[in-house]
Amino acid sequence: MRNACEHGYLFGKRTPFDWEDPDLFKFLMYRPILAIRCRIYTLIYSGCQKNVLVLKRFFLQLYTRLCRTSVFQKIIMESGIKNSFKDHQMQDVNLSRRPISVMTAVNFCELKISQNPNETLVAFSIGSGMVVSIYDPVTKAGGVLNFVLPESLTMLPEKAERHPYMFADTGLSALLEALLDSGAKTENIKVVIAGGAQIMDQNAEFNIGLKNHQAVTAFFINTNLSIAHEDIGGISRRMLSLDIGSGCNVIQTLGRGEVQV
Amino acid sequence: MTNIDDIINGIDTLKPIPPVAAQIMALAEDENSPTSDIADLIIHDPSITASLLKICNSAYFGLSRKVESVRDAITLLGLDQIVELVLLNGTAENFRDEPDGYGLGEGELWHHAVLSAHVAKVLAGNHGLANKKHLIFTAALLKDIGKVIMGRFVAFSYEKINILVHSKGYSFNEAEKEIIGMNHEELGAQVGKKWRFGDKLIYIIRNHHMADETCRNDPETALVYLADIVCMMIGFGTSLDGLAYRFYGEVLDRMNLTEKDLQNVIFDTDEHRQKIEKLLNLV
Repeated sequence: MRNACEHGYLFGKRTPFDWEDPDLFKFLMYRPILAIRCRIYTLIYSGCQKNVLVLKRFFLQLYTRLCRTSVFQKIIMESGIKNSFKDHQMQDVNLSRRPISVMTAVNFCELKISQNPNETLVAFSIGSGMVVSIYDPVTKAGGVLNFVLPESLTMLPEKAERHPYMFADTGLSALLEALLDSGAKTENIKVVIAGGAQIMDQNAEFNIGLKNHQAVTAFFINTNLSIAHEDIGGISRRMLSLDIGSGCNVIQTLGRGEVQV
Repeated sequence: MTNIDDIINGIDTLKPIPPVAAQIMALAEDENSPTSDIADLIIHDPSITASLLKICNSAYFGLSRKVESVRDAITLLGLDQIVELVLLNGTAENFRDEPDGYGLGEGELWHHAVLSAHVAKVLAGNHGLANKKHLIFTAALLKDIGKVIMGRFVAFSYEKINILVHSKGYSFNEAEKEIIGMNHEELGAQVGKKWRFGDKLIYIIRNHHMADETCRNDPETALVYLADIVCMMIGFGTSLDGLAYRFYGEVLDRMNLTEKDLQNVIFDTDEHRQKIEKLLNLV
């Protein structure tokens, strides 16, 4: 890490450095704004052709992590990172020509459905709440629900009505219904869930994370659907994305790496 | 282990809180001080007038007529709202930047601070501590001030902290203490001392993760703690530290909170969140 920091310092002065150095990569991942402010993109032009794959991965992660902040979008616009990256090196090495996809944030208590193949639905920062992603590879339609509480019946009815996507029961039926409406078939769909983290030593009574997980499992048993992948519990914050084009889910657990499903 | 003095010296890199905000904090701690004192303070401080009027006249508040003086603003929006705006304005600077090390994005720590402050204040009203709401609001707002300085040191030692947290069952603040020699609560309390906060405010900041058993009986600290864990559970403003803090059910029991109440708090918090994000664009 110290090594990386020296790199960071040099980097501020735009001295060449080794892109494949994992320490440096990690160092910059935790300081994306710094990375951009230091005009990382100028390096794309400065002859590090062989590292384009590393760079691509880096920028995609960077983008995923920060695209929700308006500050970042502003910097992206001003710096022209997206354009220089896409037009210049990407085409040279014949990587995917699909533009860096449109990221749509699925905030707390939101439900998003999409059929746009260039779109990626991303739920950032999942705590004790859960995110359920459903995708139909045939119709290429997918939806992501981000809810925080297990049951709407414990609340006053008007609250549940006001925010149906805040609860597992009301949110999940809405998600499934919306997807089936878009032509998806229950036999095709892939279900991925993530979240349900808990604070350390949280006793059963107050363990909302566990209850959220139970509610989701019960729902899918009742509807005869199986869960393809789940990443639940623990004490880490997670992030889940669903790429509508490929149906690929990425679950990132902060501090512990990521899984692709 | 990092040299503690290095960490403490980091306090000087913080931007000082404007005098008017500091005075309000001092008054808020004293239950017997009349609210008119706070109003007088705000009315007679020209340094905040311009920004206050700008915020009050924004579309967010949707007032039917233009606010032309701070006195007007207090009448129209209420003193509590104005006090909060002054406090937010005074502390925003330090929280805005991205703290290294905790993996938080730009502004995330600030959003977390404001949301938990808001939740803590609402809880204070519901639990019969309305007369201390300014103190509780301020404490929840500033509880993580230590993270602003600490982040740099956490970044250096993150791997080691991570191992303790994920393999040895340490909470994040315990691991900070073990590896770096100090955690963000203690550092926050040091900031408080240096900035001459009142004793109660420093006490809450130092104990906001309830590591010390005796403070679990303290109703003000308990509210700040509850607001913090609820924000964590929603996943708001947490990052590499995640939910790696300890949960003390007895604190909730003592406040007579059931699971249903906790769920209600989470629900309300999320409603506040939507409102607050709009407000934050103004401050």
